[in-house]
Amino acid sequence: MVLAPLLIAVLGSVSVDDAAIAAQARQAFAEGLSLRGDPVKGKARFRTAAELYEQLHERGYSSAALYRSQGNAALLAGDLPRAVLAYRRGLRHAPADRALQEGLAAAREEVAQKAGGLGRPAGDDRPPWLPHVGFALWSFVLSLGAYSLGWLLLARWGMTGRSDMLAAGLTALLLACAVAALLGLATVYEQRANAGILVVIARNDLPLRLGNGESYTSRYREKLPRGAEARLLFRRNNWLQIELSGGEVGWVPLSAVLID
Amino acid sequence: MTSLLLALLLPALADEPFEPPSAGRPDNFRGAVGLFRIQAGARNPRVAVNQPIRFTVRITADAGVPMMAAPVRPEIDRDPAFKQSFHIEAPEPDSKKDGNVWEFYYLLKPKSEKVTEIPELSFAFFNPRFGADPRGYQELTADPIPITVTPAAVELPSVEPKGDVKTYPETIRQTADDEEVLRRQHPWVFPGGGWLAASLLLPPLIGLAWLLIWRRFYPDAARLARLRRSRAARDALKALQCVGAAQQADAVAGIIGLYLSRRFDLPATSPTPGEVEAHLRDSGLADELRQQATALLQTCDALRFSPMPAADSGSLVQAARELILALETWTWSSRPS
Repeated sequence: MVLAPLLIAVLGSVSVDDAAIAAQARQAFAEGLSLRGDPVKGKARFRTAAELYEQLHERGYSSAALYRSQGNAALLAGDLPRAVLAYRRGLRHAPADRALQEGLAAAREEVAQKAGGLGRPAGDDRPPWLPHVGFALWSFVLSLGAYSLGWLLLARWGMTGRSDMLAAGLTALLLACAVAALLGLATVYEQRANAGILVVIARNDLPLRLGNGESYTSRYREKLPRGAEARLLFRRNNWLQIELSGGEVGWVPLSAVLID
Repeated sequence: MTSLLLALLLPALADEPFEPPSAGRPDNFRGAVGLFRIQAGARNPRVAVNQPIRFTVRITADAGVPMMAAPVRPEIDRDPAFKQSFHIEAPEPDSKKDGNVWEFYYLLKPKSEKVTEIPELSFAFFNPRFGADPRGYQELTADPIPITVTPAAVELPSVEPKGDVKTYPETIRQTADDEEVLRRQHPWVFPGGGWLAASLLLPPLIGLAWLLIWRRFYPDAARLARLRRSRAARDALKALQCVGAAQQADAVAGIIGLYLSRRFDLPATSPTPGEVEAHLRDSGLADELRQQATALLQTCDALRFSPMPAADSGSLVQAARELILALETWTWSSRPS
């Protein structure tokens, strides 16, 4: 148990302190799972795990695995805002990660249960046949490889005159273009979903105000639930102007939100 | 003497804009000119993680020295010692002025239980009694304030369902291995215009270059490529590749005869040289090619039926190949456009 963080530190060029934090987070998570009969204590352990993962994030670590673990810990601790933030961070790294998608869906479902018409999670407007896979390095290289192979086969057809070379070359080119078009479209949807700086409401029943101050009235009768997602438009001192998924714009205090 | 003059003149100059010397200016000097004292205090030095501590910085101006530029709000959010340990916010209102006393308020939220104090705070000002002497810059420090940070308070759920009935997917109850967590990755960014253009243009350019270089080194191969479109020529050339040393004249004669019958509609599959010449003349074939074909078949016949040992194998096969190439070239070039 003690050797594991040391080994990770030595082999992975990670500081021993950071490796110890990761180990503590994993252990806290496991303890939370074992305390299913005592939800209060269990949630406390999950909360500790989520905070430890947040420390790793602040120390510069960034990976889909880190944010998936943090999101799961936060969700199981009942911390919806931090769970949503973590899952969204993770999906930027790996849009096709099923675990991250499931976690975000679970968190959003809880948010939607508490939301009235304001702050409801954005619907997914992408076509159902479009996969949650944007362009990654491997898919870009694969498409480029097929594209290059197609041209080389066509060149070979020019040398030999063989019809099978022509057929193979055209097939490779068409395949590369089709895959690139599909992944490109998926990338456009992903970038649209991640446009701007993410803001997650961290306080329940938060009014969306007309201006940057407590003296301004709430724009709507409904209040924002914890975990609602928004996009940062402008910051003025300790107040943020945000835009919700439904297009509503208003001001919230900095202390009531989490900012990516 | 100079000090006395300054002491007499400073009150009169109090309303005049005063520019402290640039030499010797501390990095944290923010323009305060006068003589000041600084104090710092925390209202609630015992808090849980992420709970706010109300931190007050009080700066008092000495009445004995004219104050020519008021102190501004200390930027503790730029101080690494504060940033490392606290989330820093400002309450409303964030400051107050009462006569010659300025109070600046902050909300400090400790990031972890390891935070044990609010760090010391330094404040720089310039004493105008020193005139242009850089020794007029003075820096005071408010002592650090010990605090106690307790673990974060557990937020009890308002409505506790029977047991934990939330049916999360199984993936929610999983956590990643430490090696996967301790990575510093960056989301991959799609390459910009220049790289994308290069990725799209380079493969066809490489293919074209390969084709041109290949044609330069293998000029006949291009002709062969066209020949392969002719199945009769394809089959004949393929058959010639398989001709062995034994009974080579027989084989070559048979291959040429079959090729001529398929390509030029020669009636007989084993024509005599005379039949070939007559048919090719009627076909309108060029004289040179007709003679080349006839000569090859005559050579084959001579070798087949001659009691003498067979000639060098390579020359017959090569001659047959060249004949087929020449006939195909003539055929393709004489096609109506």
